[in-house]
Amino acid sequence: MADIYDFVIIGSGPSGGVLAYNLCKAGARVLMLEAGKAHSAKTFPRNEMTANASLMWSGGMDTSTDAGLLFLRGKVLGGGSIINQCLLDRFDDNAFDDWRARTGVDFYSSSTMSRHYDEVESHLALHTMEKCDWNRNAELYVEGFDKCGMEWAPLRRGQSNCGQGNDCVVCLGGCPRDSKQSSLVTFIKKAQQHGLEIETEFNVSQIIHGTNLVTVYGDQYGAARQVYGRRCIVAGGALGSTQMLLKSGFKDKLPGLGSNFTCHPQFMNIALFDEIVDAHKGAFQSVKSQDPRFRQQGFKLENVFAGPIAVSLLKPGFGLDHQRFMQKYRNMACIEVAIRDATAGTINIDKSGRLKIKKTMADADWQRANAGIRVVETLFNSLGARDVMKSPIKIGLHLMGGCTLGKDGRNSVVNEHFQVHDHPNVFIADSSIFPSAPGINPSLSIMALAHKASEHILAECGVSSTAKIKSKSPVVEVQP
Amino acid sequence: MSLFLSQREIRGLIKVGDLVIPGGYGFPSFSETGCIDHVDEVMAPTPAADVKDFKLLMKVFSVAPNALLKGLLRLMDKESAFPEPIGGLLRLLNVGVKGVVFSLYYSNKTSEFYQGPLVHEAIGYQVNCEMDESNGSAGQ
Ligand SMILES: Cc1cc2nc3c(=O)[nH]c(=O)nc-3n(C[C@H](O)[C@H](O)[C@H](O)COP(=O)(O)OP(=O)(O)OC[C@H]3O[C@@H](n4cnc5c(N)ncnc54)[C@H](O)[C@@H]3O)c2cc1C
Repeated sequence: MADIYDFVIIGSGPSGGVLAYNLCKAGARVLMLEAGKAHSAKTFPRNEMTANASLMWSGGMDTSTDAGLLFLRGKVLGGGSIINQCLLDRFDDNAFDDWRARTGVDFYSSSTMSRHYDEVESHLALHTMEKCDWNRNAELYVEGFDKCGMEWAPLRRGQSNCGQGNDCVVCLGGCPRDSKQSSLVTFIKKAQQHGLEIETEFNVSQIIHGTNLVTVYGDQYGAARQVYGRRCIVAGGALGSTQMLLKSGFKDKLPGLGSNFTCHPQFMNIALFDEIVDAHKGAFQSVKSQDPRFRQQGFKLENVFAGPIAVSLLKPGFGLDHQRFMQKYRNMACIEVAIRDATAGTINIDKSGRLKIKKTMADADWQRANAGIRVVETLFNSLGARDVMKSPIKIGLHLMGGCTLGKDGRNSVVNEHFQVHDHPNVFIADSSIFPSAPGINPSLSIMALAHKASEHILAECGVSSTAKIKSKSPVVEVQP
Repeated sequence: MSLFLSQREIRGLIKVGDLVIPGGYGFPSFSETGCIDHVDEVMAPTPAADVKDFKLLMKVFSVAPNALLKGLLRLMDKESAFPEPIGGLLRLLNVGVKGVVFSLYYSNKTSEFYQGPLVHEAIGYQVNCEMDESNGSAGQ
């Protein structure tokens, strides 16, 4: 008889990590499947190109069907938390009120969610960036905000010890110091101490829901594989989870599958200064906008920068004109406009199972983006920038929706207990359940929701999440 | 040596690479660096259908006159002036062509025999992130 796990978790990002830890801690036998490779602080690639190629889906070149947006998502043990900037914020009332109104789900509120935030935060080292962390790019940002009478605030980041003289832009390709609080060094590590088993380079192609068992098919190292779980938790992120369910034929019963896809389109705006800025040095992100007028208008601003490959793609043109621009890399300051997506797109697959993402920037999105870009121009001009360049490339980093949580199976995919409608043995609690774009960094809320989901999942199996660790499997009883 | 691109396709990529980065302002040209030797690293995670399209494009580039390629590069930057689906196609070309050229060039990787200035030196890009001995984690 094949090995049967209590839970098979597909995906190892912020959602998969928290779920794995809570389920393992309760005594369950858990297998985590991840399409990407396992890396450690010792093996993360040090080169921007190698990092893009080996840690991201399609090498970081996934686009919408009209190529208007470039989507970045992790494909590595630890998921997006390995390549992200780990800025960790709670959602505000504005975000939760919107979600409650859209879904009618009551637990979307700051007060209900605060217990779950507290719980996940207790496992993370969180650092609110201080003035001593600022590089020149951050100083310019604050100077501009103060001059223009706009409100800013320090960013909060998951980091334990970034040390002296280290440049955090490096850890976009995986943190070599185990300082960045990725799910790999936090929840997955702890889950392993409670017995989590992990299979990497396992690309899941199909999930078959049965009365007692869920069978997960995929390929690993070029060979077909299948594994069994009494329950399966899909944690592949907005694109990954939706793709897996679509490939598995869930759309027949769930017409809402693949709808409500949103992101936070980001526009990096570069200004050239006469002085050296070295925006890539030290903590390359430390301050954000805190102006209620911006939140109302649907955008936010952050000080940000990137490595040479990413920056080179931001400037239109080629030839000597391009080289003249890149020669000024050290003189560049950068402010990013991230908008709260107003127009949802759809996720579909073609005959070969490949993603087809329809996502256009509609008029409402452009109004938000242009409002933000105008503010950035005002800021840079107040600082005496020589030239301000607006990026033609829009990047989607926070990918959300596709398997929305809601009460009605006709337009949502997951119920209030994070269970896929009509498929009681399959659960989802990752960024794909988001009903709309919150306009706030999502990772911490993904973790908080995963924490909440783990309680529901354990309760559904008759196990208390606070129970003493059990040693015997199965934790999940097979139905008669 | 590439397992993905043929000799002819590599010629096409070098040709467009040198139009995008001809060298100057302290920079070597795209072809001078020999960064093309690392093209398989970019191709490996690219979905098979995209690699197929890219190969065809490079084949065409290998025989197309420079003036035509320059015209195409200019059009790619003017995508917003065109209606869909032409605008979308130009954006896709932009990401595909410049994505590969810039990834290779700004990776700072070169051929084993290259002795000229490194691209990162030319732009003054120098980063550092040391291991934390107390954590036992390794750095560069
Ligand atoms: C460059 C960048 C910077 C970011 N910065 C921030 C930030 O500062 N703060 C913040 O809050 N958010 C940030 N984000 C977004 C954040 O990382 C994501 O929202 C978050 O990681 C999503 O978590 P998740 O658990 O839903 O999915 P993911 O983290 O995407 O994890 C899903 C995992 O599932 C795996 N998977 C998918 N399909 C399959 C399959 N078929 N078979 C097997 N495995 C599969 C994937 O490989 C992946 O590892 C950033 C993202 C990027 C790309």
